[in-house]
Amino acid sequence: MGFTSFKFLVFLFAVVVAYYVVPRRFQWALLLAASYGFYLSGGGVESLCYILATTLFTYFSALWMQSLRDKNQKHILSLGEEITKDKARDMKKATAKKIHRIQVLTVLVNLGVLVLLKLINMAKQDPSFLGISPDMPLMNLIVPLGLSYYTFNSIGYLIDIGRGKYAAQRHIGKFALFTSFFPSIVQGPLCRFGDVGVQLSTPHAFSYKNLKHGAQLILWGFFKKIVIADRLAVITATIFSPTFTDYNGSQIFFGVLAYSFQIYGDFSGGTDIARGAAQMLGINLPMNFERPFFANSMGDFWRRWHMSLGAWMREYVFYPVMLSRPVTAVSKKFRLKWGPHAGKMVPSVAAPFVVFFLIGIWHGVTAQYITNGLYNAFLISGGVALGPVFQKLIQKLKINTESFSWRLFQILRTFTLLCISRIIVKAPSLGEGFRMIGAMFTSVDLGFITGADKVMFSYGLSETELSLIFVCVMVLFVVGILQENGVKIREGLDRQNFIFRWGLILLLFAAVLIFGVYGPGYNARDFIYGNF
Amino acid sequence: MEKLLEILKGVRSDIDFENETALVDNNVLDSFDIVSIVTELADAYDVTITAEDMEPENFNSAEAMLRLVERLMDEM
Repeated sequence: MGFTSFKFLVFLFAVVVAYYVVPRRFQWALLLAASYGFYLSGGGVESLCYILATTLFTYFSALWMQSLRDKNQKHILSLGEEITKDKARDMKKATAKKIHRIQVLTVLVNLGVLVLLKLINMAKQDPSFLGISPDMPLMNLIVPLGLSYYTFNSIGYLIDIGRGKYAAQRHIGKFALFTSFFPSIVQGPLCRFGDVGVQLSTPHAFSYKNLKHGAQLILWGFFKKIVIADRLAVITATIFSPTFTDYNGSQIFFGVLAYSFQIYGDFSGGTDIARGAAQMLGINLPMNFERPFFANSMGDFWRRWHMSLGAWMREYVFYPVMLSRPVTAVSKKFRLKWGPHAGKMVPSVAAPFVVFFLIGIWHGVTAQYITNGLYNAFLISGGVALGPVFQKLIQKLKINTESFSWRLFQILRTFTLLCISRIIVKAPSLGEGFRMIGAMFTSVDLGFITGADKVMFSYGLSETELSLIFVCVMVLFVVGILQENGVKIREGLDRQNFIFRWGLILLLFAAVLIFGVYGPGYNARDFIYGNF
Repeated sequence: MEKLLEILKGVRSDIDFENETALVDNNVLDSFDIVSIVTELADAYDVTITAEDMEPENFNSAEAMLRLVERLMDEM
């Protein structure tokens, strides 16, 4: 049951109605039943076994850590005045050490399952991969639906409990809902227990505003996904097809431009549908996108793109690596030997490589994803290391960094760097990707647009369809500019007159209905990020 | 507080640390700045700041950072 299927809309409608009809204390149970039903229909019984195993393992591991902490606390309190402050601190430290060991072990188990299943899947797709033969044991294991998402949510939860950030959830049903909540299970966003887990455990009163805004967000998500992304997919499938290699640089740039908007429409559209569905139930899922096309640097892009993964990586990988004893020790050595700047640079340059290597293999253990991860890390580390040099250069050239032209330059520069990143991943192979990147900058020929033979319309989309896409992307752009300037679209719409408000919503609805790529005989494309 | 403000200015001289109260929430500081600040604070006050302390509320203002340092010194 894909998000863009009619079935899903009927399912969501039924869940929303039932959610506000059942007594509020049972809302969590209804959502759990709905989530498992949704999961079963998308992943089957086998998938369900995996998510159940992870849920139970994580639930009991967290309770174990919690019980150690509680017992120790109780013991210290029972000793009352008999115990000195120092002794109490030592006892706490000893318990924290034990908890830390459990935390590391349980995180590794979860991570191990994720890596193992992903590797098996890779080996199944490409038998030469790591030399694993299809007859080897474990090769019949599958990748369950939403594996990365529920594993990352579980790992985040275990780390938080280990750190004593909040108390472990004792209610197994409510915890199971956190790992399986249907809007976020297929392609995120990644959720924190302290935020979404708590919201899911809390009863919610009916709110017309939530219902309306949720539905509007879903409609917007449909527009991005089935009007823009699924249509652009036709062009990218042609230009990035392994059988055609004679496109010139401009055609490749046209293809990567299409792919950039396709992947944005696909992923952010899917997130809008997920967030909209959750909002209809009174649950606020975290933001995943903040107009990434307006990013002025690669660092800024990663703060705006797949934000929930970025936040997860920052909290559970970046900071722990940066503040770990080995890194701080090396940093100190550098500082003593070569001064404060060098000391600061060591972790700042090293950490992005760790984070982006992980992001790379999270997408897939392939040369293309890993190269792309390292490419991003190189740009971000380079930006940090050369920051002072760039600053001096800007001062020397007397560039007004507050001007529109400078901001535009930054946005276009970031976009170009991103195009390279997209080609590395989307090209039929890594070598082919490098060839395409090279061609993009060397063989510029706009004949496919200006020529009489209208080659541009031979990639699968007619002139009308391309014009339609252009208008739709412009709509995205205008909405993006408004949001960049602090305008809250849905709240703003609420303040408009009835006719204008409904006129606009019906127009969007009609656009989805008329221009959406769907219908009998047509299977809406799977979400790109559903595969991770 | 004087000492802390001096350290903060050393990391980012362009920020009004005396009055900003949402340094992390409003993305005034990025994660690299925060790590630089943490390294400087750890050195200057001889405290160990770990990943567990990396909560936005501990770094949203100079005052919050001072509270964090004082708490860590107290726990030593």
